[in-house]
Amino acid sequence: MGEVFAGRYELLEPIAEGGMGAVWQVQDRREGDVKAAKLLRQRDASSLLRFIREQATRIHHPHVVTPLGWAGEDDNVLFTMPLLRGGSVAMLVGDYGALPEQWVVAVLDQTLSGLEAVHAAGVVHRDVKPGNLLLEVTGRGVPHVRLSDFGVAVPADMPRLTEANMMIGTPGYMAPDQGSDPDPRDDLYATAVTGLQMLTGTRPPHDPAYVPATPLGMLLLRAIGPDREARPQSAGEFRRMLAEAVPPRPWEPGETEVLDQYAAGRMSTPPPPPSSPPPPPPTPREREKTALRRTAELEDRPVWPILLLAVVGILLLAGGVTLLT
Amino acid sequence: MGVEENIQQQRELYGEPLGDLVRRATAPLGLTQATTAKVLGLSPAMLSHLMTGQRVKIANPIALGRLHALVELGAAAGGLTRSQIDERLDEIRELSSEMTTGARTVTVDGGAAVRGVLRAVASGRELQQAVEALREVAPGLAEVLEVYGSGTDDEIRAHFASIRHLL
Repeated sequence: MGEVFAGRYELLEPIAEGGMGAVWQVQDRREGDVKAAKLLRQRDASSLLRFIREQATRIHHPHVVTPLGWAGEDDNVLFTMPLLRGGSVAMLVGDYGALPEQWVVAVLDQTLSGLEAVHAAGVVHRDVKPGNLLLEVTGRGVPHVRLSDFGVAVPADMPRLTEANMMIGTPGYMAPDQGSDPDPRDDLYATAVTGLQMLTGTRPPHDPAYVPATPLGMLLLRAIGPDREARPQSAGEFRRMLAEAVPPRPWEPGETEVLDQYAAGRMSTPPPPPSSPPPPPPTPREREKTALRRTAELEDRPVWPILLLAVVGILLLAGGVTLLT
Repeated sequence: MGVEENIQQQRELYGEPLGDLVRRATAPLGLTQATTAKVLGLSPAMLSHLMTGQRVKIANPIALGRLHALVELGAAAGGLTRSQIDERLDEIRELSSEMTTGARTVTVDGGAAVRGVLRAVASGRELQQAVEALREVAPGLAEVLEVYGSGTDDEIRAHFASIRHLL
């Protein structure tokens, strides 16, 4: 049996390692079901601030993952979310390479519909990418996407807590002309890059010469083009342009299929829970390898801001403790 | 379609069932199925479906290229240290990021595919004999057999790039 967190959530298996926390599959012993939970790993005040902000971002929409609740134990915190069993769009592209146009359009339209709600709530996601688009298990039918990981999302009108010229997002998915103020249009740029990744089966940067010269390919290239004004200005406008480029057609099931990633149960023996003592320091050889890998994985990891107002964080920490007790 | 039928199709496509192929490659490397999925860039569910014959084909050509590389690494594992193996596994995992430009995609994939074909039908010695026999008759063909049959990855890439415009 895995470690039980706060007397309620049994840690089953890690799903993903994020910039500031790990996402685990957990068994909720009170409600009896399996959920996803994000565990806070870094325990400094700024991380806690972001963590609290993320779990408080509750946008209820069919294409957005909404946090369910949170729990704390000693100096660890987690919040739970529904477990999406179909994996991510990044996994789908890994399994199939370039996706059929109808899949690309469905995923994009649903993501943009989620972003409409996110932006209407005054929030900018800032980390739209295939790995953050999670899927319900729908087999060969129309996919159902939910936008996930609001770890670096911010209210558009909130005073910045980061350094003035700090960029946040994942390299490759960020507009080259992105400013340091959160702008909903940066989410649209990242959505277009995601579309190109689905259409070509390759990660950014995308060479226009290898993008299919179809109306969809042209629209996505325009949406990441150098002319800011020619790009879609809102999620709603992007959806209309998408519908014009690719008129709706009846769904044709093909080879592509969203599989249940959790059907087989545990893939491996669970690694030690995050609260166990840290592993011994790596040998020089291992350290070098980790560094190598970290460099290589930059493409898929958000860039984390380092500097935050510690005082605000500490205040929130105090607030958090009060909430927990 | 039944699992038996699927596995028969895998034999025709890949020379043997994918479950056997993957296990043969990964056992000497000490990889679990979860780690293998990560190296290949396939989801755990997809790898499991392929290995049990619930699905016939590896749909993503990049993943197929990685599997070729993994099979080669597995065959050579005896002569390598743990850290050499780990380093090579990292390289295989990163194959996709090298392929972000379209030209590279074709280069790596095409070269690996030709090599896979040659090695599937002939031994190294046979290939070498074929090179000698063909050198007079068809020097271009002899070069192809030599480079793709026994050349290094870099030589294959360079050769493929040099003829890519003709494809």
